[in-house]
Amino acid sequence: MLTVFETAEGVRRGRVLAEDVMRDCLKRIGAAAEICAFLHVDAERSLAAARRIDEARSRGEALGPLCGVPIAVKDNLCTSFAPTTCGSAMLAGFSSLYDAEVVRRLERAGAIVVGKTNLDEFAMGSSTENSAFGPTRNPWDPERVPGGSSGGSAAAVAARLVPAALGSDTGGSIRQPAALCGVTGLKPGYGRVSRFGLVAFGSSLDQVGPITTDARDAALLMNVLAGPDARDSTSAPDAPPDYVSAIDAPIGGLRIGLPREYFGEGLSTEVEAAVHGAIDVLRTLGARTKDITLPHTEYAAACYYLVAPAEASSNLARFDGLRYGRRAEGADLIEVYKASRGQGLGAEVKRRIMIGTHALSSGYYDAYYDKASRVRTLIRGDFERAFSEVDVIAGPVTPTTAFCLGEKTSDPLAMYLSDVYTIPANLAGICGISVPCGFDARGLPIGLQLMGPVFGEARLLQTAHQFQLATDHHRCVPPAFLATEAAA
Amino acid sequence: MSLALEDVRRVAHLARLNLTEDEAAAYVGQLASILDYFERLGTAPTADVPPTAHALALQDVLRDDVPAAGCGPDLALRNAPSVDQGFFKVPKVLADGEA
Repeated sequence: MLTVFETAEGVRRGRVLAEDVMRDCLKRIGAAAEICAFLHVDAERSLAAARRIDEARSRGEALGPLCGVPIAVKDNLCTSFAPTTCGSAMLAGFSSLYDAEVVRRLERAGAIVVGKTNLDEFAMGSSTENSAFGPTRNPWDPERVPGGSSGGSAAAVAARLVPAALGSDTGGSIRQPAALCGVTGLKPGYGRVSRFGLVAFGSSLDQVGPITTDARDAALLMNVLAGPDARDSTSAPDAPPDYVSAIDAPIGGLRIGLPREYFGEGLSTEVEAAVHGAIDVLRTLGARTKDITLPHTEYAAACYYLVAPAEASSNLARFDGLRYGRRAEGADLIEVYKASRGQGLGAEVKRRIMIGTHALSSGYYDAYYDKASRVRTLIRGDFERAFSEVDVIAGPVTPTTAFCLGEKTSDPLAMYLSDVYTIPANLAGICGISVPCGFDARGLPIGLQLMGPVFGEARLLQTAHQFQLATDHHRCVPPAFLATEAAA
Repeated sequence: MSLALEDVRRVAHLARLNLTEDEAAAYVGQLASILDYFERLGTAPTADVPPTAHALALQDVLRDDVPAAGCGPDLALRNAPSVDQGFFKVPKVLADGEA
């Protein structure tokens, strides 16, 4: 399959028709139904949009930077032309009145939103098993999870069904599935990309970002996605750089920090070896490494699983069954709320709402939410100190490669700890990227995480791109999808 | 930390969630082990550390107060579970005599 870059270039130069690109994409999606990456695909609308691009080209009109590129969008991003379910029975049949700003920007740039991808309900989970519509499967091994919560988006890109997808990342939900599926996933710094139309989970942590096969495509997407939005009061006012032109510079002299806390207990030896191998590659490219410490890392998971559920318990209060969503019968108003939410929300979402409600409740606020908010300051401080000494921090994305379906569903705490290396970036508001860096003995992908300071995305994309020029892990296609790849 | 079934029921009521017997029973153990895990925060040195509610020090943004088109009642009611004469129909909020 062509990359985002190649597709847009091919359509712009008339080497391929957008309609043919779309037909091929829809065929791949149809042939890969068993991995359940998509919740909704709109073939008719997508083909009509592709034909409009071909017609515009034949009339000699200027085409956007993503012209004719099919893109999948995580189903917690609002679309007025397709259902928006958040993977929840609560929103089955819900039809948004408007498009998320990121959806609008993609389509304005000529991309075509081909469908909505599966996710853990309301983006709460690390395996995509919490979807009310069934789990997504890992294209590298259908008995294993793709990670989560953007598991559908990561699986769709890994199986080469689409050249790119959007995910959202509250505690690792772009980077962790990207690592487990062997694709490239960027979580921009908080405020870099508009959250308008992203169904809120943890409002101080959520960010939308691209999942692609390589860093160059991520840069191309970021050129379209990044920048201030008047309808998101937390979007950063400063203009973003040109990410595509930033990636070509070599990384000689780049200072890379290796945090001691990310290479300790719990990290599988195979992941550790692959990450060290990747760091060696970066050294041969001229980067200098330095051992650093992020001393409050041990508190990050506990901090996150208080802050995020606290924000979620407040954000999800809107799902009350009155103005939209599922409404159940009840004797009075309170009973209608309780029955609607009891029936409409799944076990993990309820669990997090319960944790958040408890943490914010009278008598527990100081011990839990307030304490976690102060620990969050310590974690931010760790990164501020580190980035005064280094440009980029490198480490693993996940402690292990993809685990089996059902392996962690009965132990929520074990599932939470699979995010231990991705959570700190969200708490600190910094950016992070997952880059394919090898495979374990079973052939499952391993991700290298690079983290940068607030609005350091250009440096991360440059580092990742230079790494990908020297390696080919990102070119590896899951064996089950090689045949469709070759036929196309 | 031990957690009783009544604690789970109390929080579920605050959160406006009906739980089945099985759900409530499962949450007793699961929430207790999660709350236990939170205990580690007790050793974090936060004595003189201010809280962070937000990762960025952004200022409030004010826009010009200019009227713009709304979405209109038909669109606004598009997803309503129950509608009556162009309004959302909801269960009675006030008990008899309360108004």
